[in-house]
Amino acid sequence: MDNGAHALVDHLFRHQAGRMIATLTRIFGPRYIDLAEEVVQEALVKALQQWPYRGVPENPTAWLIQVAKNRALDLLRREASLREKSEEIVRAFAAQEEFANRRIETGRGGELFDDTLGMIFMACHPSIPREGRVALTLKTVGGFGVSEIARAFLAKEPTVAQRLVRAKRLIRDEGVTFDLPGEAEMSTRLDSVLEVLYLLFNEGYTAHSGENLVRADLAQEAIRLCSLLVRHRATNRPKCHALLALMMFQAARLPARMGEGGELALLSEQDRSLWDRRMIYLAYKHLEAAADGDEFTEYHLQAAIAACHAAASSYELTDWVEIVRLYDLLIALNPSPVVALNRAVAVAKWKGPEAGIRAIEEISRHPALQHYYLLPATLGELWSEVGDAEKAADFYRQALNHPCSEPERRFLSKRLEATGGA
Amino acid sequence: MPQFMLISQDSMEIPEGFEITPEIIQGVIQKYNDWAEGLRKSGHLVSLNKLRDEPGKNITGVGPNQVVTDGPYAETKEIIGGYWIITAANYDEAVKLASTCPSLEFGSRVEVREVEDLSTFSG
Repeated sequence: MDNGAHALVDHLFRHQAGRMIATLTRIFGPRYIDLAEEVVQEALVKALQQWPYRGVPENPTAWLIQVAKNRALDLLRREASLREKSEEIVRAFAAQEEFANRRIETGRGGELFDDTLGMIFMACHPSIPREGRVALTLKTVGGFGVSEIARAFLAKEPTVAQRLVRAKRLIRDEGVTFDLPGEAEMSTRLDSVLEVLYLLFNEGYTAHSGENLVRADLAQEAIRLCSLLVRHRATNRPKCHALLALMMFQAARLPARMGEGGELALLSEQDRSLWDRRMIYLAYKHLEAAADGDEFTEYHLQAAIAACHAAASSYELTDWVEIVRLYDLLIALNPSPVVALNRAVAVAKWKGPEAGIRAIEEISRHPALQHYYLLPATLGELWSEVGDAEKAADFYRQALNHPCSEPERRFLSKRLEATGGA
Repeated sequence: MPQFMLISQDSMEIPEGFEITPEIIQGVIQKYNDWAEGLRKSGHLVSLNKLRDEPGKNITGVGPNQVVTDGPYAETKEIIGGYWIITAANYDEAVKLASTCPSLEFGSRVEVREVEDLSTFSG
């Protein structure tokens, strides 16, 4: 009766839930996505009831698949409309189990992820509003709970639940299918997927804080899903590589992004020896793959900018001229005031803080920047570099009046204090 | 070395509105796994077992008065989820080992009972 101890793989349940929901949704059909989720939840709860006492089985993944299969078959017996699918379910789960036994095969085995990819395209269908796409992707593909999604996006649980219900209704009403999009549709459908992944990543990255580990999970999840895209031959497009490169360059900096006291460390202050070199190496590989072809997207430019930072041995030795050039291209593609603000910072590093301040003044009246704390915060930085402590303090105070996360708030207060204006 | 049975009396109720996410489920299992692994490594764990939640039967009486009911749900909201058998020098040590059982964190009651060693009487 002695079960060998078996440590659980990180996020096994979350990832396995995503895979099983995807397989069941393909078999049952998109309109039965709720049933798929229910079956999977029951399998997980069964593990919760048994494993604490009997120990973790030798192959936890195969165990979960087996239980989910049995639950699904029970359900098929009850639901007349689904009954003829029972052979398909047995076959699909046998394939999954074989996959589980073989452990995760990376590299060429991309087709094994068909179900997960089908699910991503379904959840990110353009007919679903953006928040709904994000929530549905996290819930069904990522195996996140409603409470986790709500926490990550600072939304109320009922709001997230509502978004999910609406997204599923749209899938039913619009007759969204589970298949991978055809060649003609692929590029636009991919844009919709990449937009969701980019949003997921940014939410996880910019708000990264020790108090809120779920957010680091979001960044990891976005990278995981984007990795699936580039591994499959139908979705192995340059723009997917570009986004993946961008996310990896930035994620490589996460270990250096938090100071000892849990405060935010800016790029200029980060201990670069903490950067994840392996991740940066992989990011370069994907940037290379992104250049292969005639696609040229914002992700390409942003990844190139991130690569400039990764290549610099210190903040001072960064190639600011090249970065300003890339920002100019980026603004030509997407004239966003936030991008212009980032460009102004690079201009300041290249030509001095006064030039940066002038560049910011050109965009400071833009309505989209009126509640954006980074605008006054950046001006505060630049004025303190110029040596005008009074102006700097004034802008830091303005920045603190805008909404921002706790670590960011602590950071700004510290800066304000340093000007002697606290 | 005396053996003790640790019996986990689990509550059947999940608080209203509480969502059991895959991550939470894994976290709970991990806790039990780590705890049992600690007992195994220190040489205290003899065996562990899960009791099936369903169907469960209760029998009372004999002959024509015998009644078999479904249970144990009828009488109580608590159910014996499972048990561990450990070795310990005495009750003090057994209680000490049981005191870190994850069930306690989740509101369960853990009963500690010494197993009577019948082998000394049989020879």
